[in-house]
Amino acid sequence: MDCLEKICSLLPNMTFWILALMGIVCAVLAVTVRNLVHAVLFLAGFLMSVAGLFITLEAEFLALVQVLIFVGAIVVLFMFLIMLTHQITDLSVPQGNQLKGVAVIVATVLFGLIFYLLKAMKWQEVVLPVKGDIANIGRLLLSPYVLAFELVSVALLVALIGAIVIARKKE
Amino acid sequence: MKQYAPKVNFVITIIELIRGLLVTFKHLFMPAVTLQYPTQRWKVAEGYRGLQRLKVDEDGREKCVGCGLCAKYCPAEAIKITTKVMDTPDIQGYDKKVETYVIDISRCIFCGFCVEACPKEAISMSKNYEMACYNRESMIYDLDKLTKELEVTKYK
Amino acid sequence: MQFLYDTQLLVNNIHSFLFGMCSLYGLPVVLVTIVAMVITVALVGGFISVNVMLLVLAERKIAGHIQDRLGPMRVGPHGILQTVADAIKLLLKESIRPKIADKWAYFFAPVIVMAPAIMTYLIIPWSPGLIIRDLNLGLLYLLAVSSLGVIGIILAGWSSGNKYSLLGGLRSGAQIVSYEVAMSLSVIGVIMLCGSLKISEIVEAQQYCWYVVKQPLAFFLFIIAATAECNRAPFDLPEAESELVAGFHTEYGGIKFAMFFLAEYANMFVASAMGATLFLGGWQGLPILGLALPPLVWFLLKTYLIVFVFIWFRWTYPRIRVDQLMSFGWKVLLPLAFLNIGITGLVMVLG
Repeated sequence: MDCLEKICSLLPNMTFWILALMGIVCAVLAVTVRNLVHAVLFLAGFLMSVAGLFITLEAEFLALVQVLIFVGAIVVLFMFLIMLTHQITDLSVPQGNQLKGVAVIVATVLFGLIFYLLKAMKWQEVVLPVKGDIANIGRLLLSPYVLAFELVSVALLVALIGAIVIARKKE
Repeated sequence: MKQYAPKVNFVITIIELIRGLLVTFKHLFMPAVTLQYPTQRWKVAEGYRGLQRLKVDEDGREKCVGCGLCAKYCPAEAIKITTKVMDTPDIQGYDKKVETYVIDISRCIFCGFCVEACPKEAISMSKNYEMACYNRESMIYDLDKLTKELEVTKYK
Repeated sequence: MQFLYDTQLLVNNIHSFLFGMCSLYGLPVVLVTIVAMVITVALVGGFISVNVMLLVLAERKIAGHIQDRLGPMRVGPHGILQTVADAIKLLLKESIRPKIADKWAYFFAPVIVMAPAIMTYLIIPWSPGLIIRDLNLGLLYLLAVSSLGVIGIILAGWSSGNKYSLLGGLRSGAQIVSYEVAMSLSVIGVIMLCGSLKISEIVEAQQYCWYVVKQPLAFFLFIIAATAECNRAPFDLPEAESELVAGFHTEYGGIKFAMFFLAEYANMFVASAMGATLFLGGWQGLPILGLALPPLVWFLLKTYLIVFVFIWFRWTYPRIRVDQLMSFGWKVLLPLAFLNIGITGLVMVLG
């Protein structure tokens, strides 16, 4: 029973590693798999693991909203889009192009840069001024951050009107 | 292409929707009209034309004299009669005797013309409507099957 | 039966009993959590199965009586064991897969549909202490998890390899997503009145007045949106297509079809339970009737009343065409939901 206790004390750390590993695996599979629908499903898996990571950071509202909007609406939209395309699983469609070598080099350099930057930064423990529950989030959105809120609303309105204009039937 | 939308009165829509719900609710409490078939049977009307029966008189002989009118009148040609001439006439003085009398139930349309045609009222239609069987041969009813009282299986 | 009246005490007693056992035998405390989880999963699984049997039978019997006929009468006395017979038949069927269908997607689609349907049972308030987890963001959890089922339906439609199934799945997905928006907005009125997303607080706040009295429009919108969410009549074009042409679960047979079936009835129960919780007062009882029923019985009564209303709608109204469905969801329900939020806000600020 002692090992059970040891396992349970390691659980928070393990949760992070499991979620991170799941996220990485899903993300890598999402970009390399040939079948587009499978790729979208792996994308959904990646977004769910990100939501799990939000929960470990005590941002439950953000996690649930991520699931609701990203997985519940955006991934559904992706699936609609992909299923109305043809040649999803056609083996003759090329997976990469002739710039593959350059891409690998650039990606490795970028990864090295970011890794170095993250290691060199001095991270501080952040103490939240207010508790992250939903009443406080509402208050914060409407008093100090109301400009950002309104700008996001205007951006959404513009996107909506643009979509309607593009998709309208020509009379 | 101009879209033409009919004018909809919302209040009437909602009232009619609720009236529909009330009709269905009322029917929930009305008794069902289903008949549980093998345990409950349907009472047939008096003149119902079911399976044919050949009548026998008091002495046990069939009333049928073998005239063949039923076979001639049958629209589906379901009745086949063969007769035989006897050497000695029997009690009533007839010397013609029915040898085989076969009704093919799978051809019969139960119209009752044979009953109307018979001069001796030897054939009538009973109220039996349950004649289903497993093969074509048992759909051919011969004389003793037509005179015998067919029993109906009762279910609990 | 006295323990049913005070379930908070019951849950506390069970917890303290388990803790006591653990400290007596020197077992770690985490075993209590594991045992509690196992018991909960078993109870929820058992309830879902029994509930499906009850609901399928109730639907067929009520459908029969509405249509002036009896429902199933042969299997068991008055047809009680009919669903058991159906379940056994479905389980014994061979699971075939069309050759052109995508193997993994075909396999996982029923799972993706079933899992969110069961996950929503986490926040149902059966009785004062009997919620599996009383999350602070309970209502948001419900909305988030129930939006995951759409992916499964669209995947099922596509992975059947059949053009008609694909169209049925896409239509069903579009319908569910549209009516989800209307449902979320109609629930916001309740959240505004109560001030919290925690389900037990919402039930407690309805102590003197149920929210159906304060928000009748929201209740009406919620019931309509919930019937569309569960793909039930009069919005069951994706399902009825399986009677007419093909639906998203045409190519599924045996256990996979049983999963879709189970998920639909589980969803229906959860939608009714949420309607009963948010608008009809949850496990609060009416004191005027004079009889003191346990809160669990009140909750189940209210939930099954709404389930009856769903069944009643199905056998009364004809099916709506898919373009009428979408225009109804976006052009009628959404503005009404916004109107409801506006009026509620106005009354709260002024009153």
